[in-house]
Amino acid sequence: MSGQVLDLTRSPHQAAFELLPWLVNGTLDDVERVQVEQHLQTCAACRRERDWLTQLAGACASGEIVVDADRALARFVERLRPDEAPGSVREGGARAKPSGLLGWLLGPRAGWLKFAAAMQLGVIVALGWALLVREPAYRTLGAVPASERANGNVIVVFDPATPEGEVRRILRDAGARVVDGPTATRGYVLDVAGTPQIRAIALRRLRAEPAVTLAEPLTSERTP
Amino acid sequence: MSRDLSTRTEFSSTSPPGAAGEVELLARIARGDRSAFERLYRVYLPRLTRFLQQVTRQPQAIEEVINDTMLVVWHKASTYNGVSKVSTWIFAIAYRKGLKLLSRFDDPVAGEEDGTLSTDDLPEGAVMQRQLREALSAAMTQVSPEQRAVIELTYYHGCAYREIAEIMGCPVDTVKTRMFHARRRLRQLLSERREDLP
Repeated sequence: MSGQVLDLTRSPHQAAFELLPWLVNGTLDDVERVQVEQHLQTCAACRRERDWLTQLAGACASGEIVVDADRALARFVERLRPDEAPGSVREGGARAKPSGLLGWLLGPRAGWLKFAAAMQLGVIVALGWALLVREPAYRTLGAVPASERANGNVIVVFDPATPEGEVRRILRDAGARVVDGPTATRGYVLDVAGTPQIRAIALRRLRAEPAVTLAEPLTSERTP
Repeated sequence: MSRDLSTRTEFSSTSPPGAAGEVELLARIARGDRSAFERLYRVYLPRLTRFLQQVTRQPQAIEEVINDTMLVVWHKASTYNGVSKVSTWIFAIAYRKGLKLLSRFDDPVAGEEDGTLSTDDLPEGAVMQRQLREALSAAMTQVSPEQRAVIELTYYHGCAYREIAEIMGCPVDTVKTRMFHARRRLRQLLSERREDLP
């Protein structure tokens, strides 16, 4: 049984007509070439098309490209590897594949690639460090310096679905202002000015709000 | 007429590596051999330049696309599995990069025509060939990038249609259909410019 798949959707003329460009460029396999050439013997339209395609091929094949490879290669290397010394990559020799980023960095790849990756890693670490040492936007209460915590005396957690405007209203009604947060548990540190009694009233108001899921004092003051 | 994509080169200072040589080059690149990469780069630079110029018609961005392509070659050489020719593998990468480039532009830039040179000293056949070439260059701007890719891969790079299907990531019937429409359109456009076409 032949491995050829007969295409019943195409007539012999249509099949030959479609293959003419590759008859002209000489890449048909032997079976296809023989079929197309046999068809050409009886089909004037395909012969005219072949002649036209031969002209087209001649026009397409002309126009050699001249490029400055040295310059292009230099720019390519320069773009990625500004300071790698030439010949820093050893040639030949099978090597075990490195595993993981560190393995890759220490592995057999070209120095300029490793340099680029190391630079990226360095930038990431530096940015990460910068984020750590500057005041974090999100942190747990335990991470808040004592000097800052001194300004806050109530911790409150809002329902996540609470609109911002509603949050502002609740805070206004309680006479509180946000001094820190949100914390890792979505809590906000509030400062409620005034006497312990005033703070106790503020806590009761906060706890009465459906949008407030938690309201607790941060000091040792006893709340009713 | 046919020219093997894997052996074609115009400027390499050394002999072309050939299909088997390119496989060996790629294996060396996978091991981090930079000189092998430079060799392959030099071999493919003119081929990819021509291919991408024809397909994208964005000459100002060709080098960027080529470098993106060759960067993939450098990074992914170890993933080449030998099923297709090295040239098919590289051209497939370049084709995808070229299409990605085109997606950034709304209007294609027509290719430059060298119609300012005199044809007075050329023999009649050469003049006709030159006129056809110039007409073809203009006509190629009127067909789609996909159709240009099929024409270019067939007639300049000498690819079989199955190889073109691999490069373009489409069925062989799609390649035939694109070629069918491209040649019909080009014939129409060229006939409008030259009454003496057969």
